[in-house]
Amino acid sequence: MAELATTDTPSVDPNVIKMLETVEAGATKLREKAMADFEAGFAAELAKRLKPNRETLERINGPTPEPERVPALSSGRIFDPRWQLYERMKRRDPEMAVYRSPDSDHWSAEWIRGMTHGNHEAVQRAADKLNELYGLSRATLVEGPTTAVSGLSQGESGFLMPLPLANAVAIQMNRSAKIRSLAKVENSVSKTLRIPTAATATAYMLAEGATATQGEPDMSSVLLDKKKQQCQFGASKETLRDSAFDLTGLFTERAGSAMGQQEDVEICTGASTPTVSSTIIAGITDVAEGSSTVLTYADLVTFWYTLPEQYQASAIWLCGGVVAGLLTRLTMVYGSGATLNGTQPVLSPANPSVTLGDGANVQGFIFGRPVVIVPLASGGLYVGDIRRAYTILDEPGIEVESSLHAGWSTDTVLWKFTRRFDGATITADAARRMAGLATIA
Amino acid sequence: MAEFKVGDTVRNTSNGTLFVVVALPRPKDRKTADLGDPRVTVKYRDNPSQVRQVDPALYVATTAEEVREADAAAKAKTKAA
Repeated sequence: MAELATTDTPSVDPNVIKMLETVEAGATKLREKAMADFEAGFAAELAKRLKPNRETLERINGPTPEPERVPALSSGRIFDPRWQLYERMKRRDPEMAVYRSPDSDHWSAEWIRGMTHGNHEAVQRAADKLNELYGLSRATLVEGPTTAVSGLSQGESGFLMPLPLANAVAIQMNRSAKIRSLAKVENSVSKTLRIPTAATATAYMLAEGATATQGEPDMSSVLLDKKKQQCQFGASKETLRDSAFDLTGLFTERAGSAMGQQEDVEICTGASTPTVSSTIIAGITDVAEGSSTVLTYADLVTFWYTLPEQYQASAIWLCGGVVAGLLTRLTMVYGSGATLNGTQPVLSPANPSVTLGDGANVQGFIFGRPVVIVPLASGGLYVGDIRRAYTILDEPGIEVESSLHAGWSTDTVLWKFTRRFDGATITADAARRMAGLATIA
Repeated sequence: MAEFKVGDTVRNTSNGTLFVVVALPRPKDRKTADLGDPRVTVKYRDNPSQVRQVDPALYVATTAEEVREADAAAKAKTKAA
């Protein structure tokens, strides 16, 4: 029997082992070299990035722009000393800055002075320059002859202000008038505007072959009829001659804010004669408090849920200062049963920067809806979708007139700013009111 | 809408307060800007100077017995005070 060759491990050729060792040594060398290259590159990049940039800001950002040069009335060119003020206005009041620049204020002041001195040529030139600056001009109106029934303006005369100046007045007015930014505003060149209204229509589900009950709602309409609003004030001749004085700011703020404040008073209380066609509380259903003149949290809950659901999502609370005070002192309990957590005021002062529209500062929130203080009659609390409930009819344009002679003895030039507007409740069901509130319990 | 007459005593269904009807809605054939006023004018029974114009759907008629009971309760409350 032949002996079987037995081997525990197969013998390896020494040449193969040597070859493998050579390959391994080569790979190690390669790896070390790659690592060294990477570290060197990294160190170089790091050193480059840590090195400060010694170039001037001008070279990095490009040349600093020169301040805007404003042409002066003389033949030379000067820097307007108010340039900084206008630059700040761009940041702090961009809405107003659209209509205010050194150029436009210059021509607005020229227009005011021209009006003062009865210098029609200067008035026309200033108006043309302002139109040129803004690319604005008034639309030509073709209205036909004025008759008793045409609805056009009758017996109104005066100069229309240049549009940029009128816009600056309008911006100031909007900041003072709170309800204007909450209600619906219609514009019309006509004196009147008729708005159709209708009660709710009803839909039905029907069996085959059946027909729906006649449910056409009653149609009606509300006639908005503009009323005149005017403010008159005087300025000394020295004021008007002082070229450095901010004439545009003075005139727009005085006229605009006075008109805006009075508009709110008329809409809330209809205090004057004539006044708006109907106030914001006209025809609004009252919700009676449990004990007369006493406001409780339970009353407030009932009040809120009496407002139809479709108006709640866009509702806004309106009240005067007295009722706002009651709401701030009135407390509600939060949590229930064994998890009563305590009490908190119904109305907590909100961040003062919260505004709705132009002038409507939010005082706080009740049931998630904002509270705005307006000149409602004392004891009144209103909640509703104001955009659907109330409409303001506005006139495009503000008239201005001046007289040298009326203030002759006091060396004063008198100014009259005139505009017309109206307001009326369109959908009384979109709001609810509480009245006579005087105390809390 | 509940049938109320001027002078009726009515009760607010949410807070139970008693009111007296002062005026009824204008007739529907008299069309006005707000499509005929659906509100009823009421005054507080215990404070007649306070008048409200309310939605009649939230009020119910009262019985003489109910009014008597309310008056007796008010009287007792005043006496206790």
